[in-house]
Amino acid sequence: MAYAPKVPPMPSDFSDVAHLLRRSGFGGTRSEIETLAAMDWTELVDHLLDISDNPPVTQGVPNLDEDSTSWSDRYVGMTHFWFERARTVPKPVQEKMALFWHGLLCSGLDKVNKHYLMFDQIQLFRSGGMGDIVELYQAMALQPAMLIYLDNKDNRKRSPNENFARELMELFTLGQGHYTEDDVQAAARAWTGHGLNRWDAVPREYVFDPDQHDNELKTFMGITNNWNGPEIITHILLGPKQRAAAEFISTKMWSFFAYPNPEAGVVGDLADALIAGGMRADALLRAIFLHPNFRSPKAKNALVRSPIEFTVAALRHAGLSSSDIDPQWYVGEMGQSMYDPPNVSGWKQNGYWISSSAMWAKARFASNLRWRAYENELLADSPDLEISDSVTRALDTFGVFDASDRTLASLNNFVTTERSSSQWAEPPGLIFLSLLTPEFQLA
Amino acid sequence: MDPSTEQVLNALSTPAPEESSNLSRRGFLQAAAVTGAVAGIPTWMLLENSDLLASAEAAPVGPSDGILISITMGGGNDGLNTVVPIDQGAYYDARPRLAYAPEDCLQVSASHGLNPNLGTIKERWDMGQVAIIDGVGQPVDDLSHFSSMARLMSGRLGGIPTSGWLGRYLDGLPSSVAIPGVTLSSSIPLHMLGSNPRTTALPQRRSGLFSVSSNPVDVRQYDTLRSFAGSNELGPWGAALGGSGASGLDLAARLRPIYPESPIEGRLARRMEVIARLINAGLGTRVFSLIWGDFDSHSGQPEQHDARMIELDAAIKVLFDILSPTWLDRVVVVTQSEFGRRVADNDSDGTDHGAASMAFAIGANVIGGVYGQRPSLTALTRQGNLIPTVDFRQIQATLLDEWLGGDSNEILGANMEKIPFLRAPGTPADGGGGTPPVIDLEARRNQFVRLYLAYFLRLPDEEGLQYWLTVGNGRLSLGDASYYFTQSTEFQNMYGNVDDRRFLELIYQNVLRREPDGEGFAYWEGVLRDGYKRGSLMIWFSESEENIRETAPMVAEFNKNR
Repeated sequence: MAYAPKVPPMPSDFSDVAHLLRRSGFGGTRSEIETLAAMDWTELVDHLLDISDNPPVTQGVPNLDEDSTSWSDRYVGMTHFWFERARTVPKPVQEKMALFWHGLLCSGLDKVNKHYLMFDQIQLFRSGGMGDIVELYQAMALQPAMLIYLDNKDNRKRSPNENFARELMELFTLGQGHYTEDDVQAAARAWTGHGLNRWDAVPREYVFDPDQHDNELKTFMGITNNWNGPEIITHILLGPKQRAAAEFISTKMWSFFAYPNPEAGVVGDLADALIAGGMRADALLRAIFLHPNFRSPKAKNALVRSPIEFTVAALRHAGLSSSDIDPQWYVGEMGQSMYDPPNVSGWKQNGYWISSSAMWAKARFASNLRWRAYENELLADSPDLEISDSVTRALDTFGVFDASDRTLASLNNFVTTERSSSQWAEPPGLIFLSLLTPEFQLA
Repeated sequence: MDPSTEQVLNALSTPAPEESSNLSRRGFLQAAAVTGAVAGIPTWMLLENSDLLASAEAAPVGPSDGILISITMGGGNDGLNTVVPIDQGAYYDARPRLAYAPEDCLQVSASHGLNPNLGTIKERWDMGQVAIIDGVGQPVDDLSHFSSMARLMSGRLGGIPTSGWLGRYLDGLPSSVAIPGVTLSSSIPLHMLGSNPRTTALPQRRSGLFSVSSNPVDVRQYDTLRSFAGSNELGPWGAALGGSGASGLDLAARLRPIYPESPIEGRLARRMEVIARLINAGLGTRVFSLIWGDFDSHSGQPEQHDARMIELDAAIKVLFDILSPTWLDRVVVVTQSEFGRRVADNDSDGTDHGAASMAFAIGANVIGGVYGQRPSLTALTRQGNLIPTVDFRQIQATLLDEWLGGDSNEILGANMEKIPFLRAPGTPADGGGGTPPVIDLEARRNQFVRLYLAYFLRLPDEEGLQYWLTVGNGRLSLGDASYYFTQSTEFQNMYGNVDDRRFLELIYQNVLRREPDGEGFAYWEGVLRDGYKRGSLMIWFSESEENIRETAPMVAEFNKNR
């Protein structure tokens, strides 16, 4: 029996399409890629960015009611909801963008302490994460999760709290060097009074308390005015600092989807596109995927899959669901607790994900997954295939289409040895090993 | 080696890692280099480190490198009931329900008494190995657990931090150090977080380690996983990931035998046992983190806080029971908490969030004593809290500069005044002015011979004696040696099950070889009652004028035959 996929010539390059599916989502199968490669690149990018055929974000939301569920129930519910969407929606870029914003506009369950508030925040990133960035930031700033996480709820006229005002500029929009400490203080005053209803109210909701709002004149970025919080966001993103903000956000998004530390030229191209696109996230995404450097050799193999990306890809390729394997506990052990970034600067990249503890967690996850998938007879007919076909097919199944010689030789050797020892272990062994190849662990 | 020493050493030792039993470290590294993997070294660091083989030889902790065990007391430890201001009426007035009477405390001075549950720490105090740092707090008037802990862990005052003071220190260590940071927790706490993953989260029990199965089916899969290493076809991150399987498996296999088969009981002690064994195994780790609580005693404080104190004391005991004497002068334990508690108790037998607390530093190279300044118990903050006299960052700066070889200005972003509670790691006591002491080697030898006589009622064998004289670069104090001797089977068999009176009778007979005199007996009985340990008594007996005189001929005879 032979496994010999044939790739006919296509308008888009097969390996480019595979790369795009990994980066814009969580990887594709050979047949998906072949189908999509029939489109030319621009058509393909627009197709993948069209999320109108994804199920509505309100479909199947978990019960996060604190009276009728346990802490653990709620956490399982909200993590499974995300994992399931990520692995099943037709256009996973929507979920990928929610993850991007989660790591940029951080709040964390540890401090926010209410599951439904963290869930609401990610729902905002899901529903608005590809649209108008100004609207997204405005909504984010007034959600209880952010008001709690960066203390704006405690920002009052007589005792301004600068936390949100500072991070808004330093970590969310501009980066250091584009504002002064005076700007931080003025912005903090502008945000006074934007708080929450009573601490014991259910649900916690945004409330503006005019008595706690500083109605005096404040000088923000050289302009003296009776600034109010939301105007600060508008001014940063649409005012004289727009270019700096566009470059900042472009750098963050390019680093997430292509490679870290983009060249100034790339950042310039992207910022142009973002501004020309009316500060819409999907315009920036489109510019990223259409940029020649996105498909350059430098971009390929430039990113390590984060634990959530790794785990979703594994489920997706193995055809398993969250309830089969409870990935939420494993990603925490790998260093990325869903809904709970380590701090306001979010997760870092690449080397951040490579450590002994992370490797152990990945191996435990792969070990568990191989038996679940084995029960479903994944790769069950491997022993009937030629040795090299068995290897290629296993890697194909996990979306690895251009494995290194080293990986191929290792796996060929494995199958050869397995066939002279215990044949039954070939399929689960190939599942375990495919997940732990460097190729699968790369984004 | 004579049996008694062997027994003591057995009691102290950690089984050697399996690999090293038949493979020298160099041989192991060479073998690893062939497969492209080195145990325990995050493989991505290989990228920047071409001379790994050479530097890996130097990676273990050097003779003047300090190791820090950082204990974080979560929830706000009540400093006033940890080290009690026994001379302050205001304390007793403010805490009618929670105060410890002076006579219940383990007194370390006329003004300071340790919590009654801290017997081991008292013992270390008596050995001159405990610093009490009074008045430690934050220069910010804020009593939130979250932001106070964030400041404590980050070592910086402003904003929500993105890295920790120890993480930034670990970032600066050479990449050849295998696992420079270890936390006994399921995730990496903020203070250990840097730009790079230099801290490994290890489980509390062996069962939590990644299990390197010996099932042949698994072994064949591991072998394949190992063979992914060494490829450069996939770029630097691909290479790092390719090597991570082998290094992860190697580290797990190396750690497994270090973990105790049957861990001791105790939430904190169990983790401290693992740390002591990891240090003994010489993996090169410089910083260990333990976080435990809960110290947030708003109500029911007596039970809650006593339980914490018992746990702390047990952990300190375990550390010094297990730590090999080789490491004594390079290990320090430091406790910190995000804040202290209100001076006055509340109506629920508890105390609310306070400001200043205290810190302990414990170790052979701690210069024992009380540091900082005890805050006034009457001039309080608006909320009724102690006003800090020591900025917590002063302790961090001291540890960074004086103990870990870091740069506190850079790491803390502030120039903090340091507190002189430490001797540099690996330097002997009694140096004075930074100069090594003039040790009369002959006199030291005689002290150890007498200690043998006192403990084991016989002369040492030369090999055993030499072990104790040379271990820890020849700087093991008589007190520390005595502490180890108390753990020997011989000592335990002889004295383990007898009460203080009987113990005294026996050592009069065995050491001084005479009947006790009434006055002397009463005096020593009082000493034991005051909480001094039998190990200390053994030294006082052994080094008494009487004993030195009486044993002089035996010692001289022994030395003649060396």
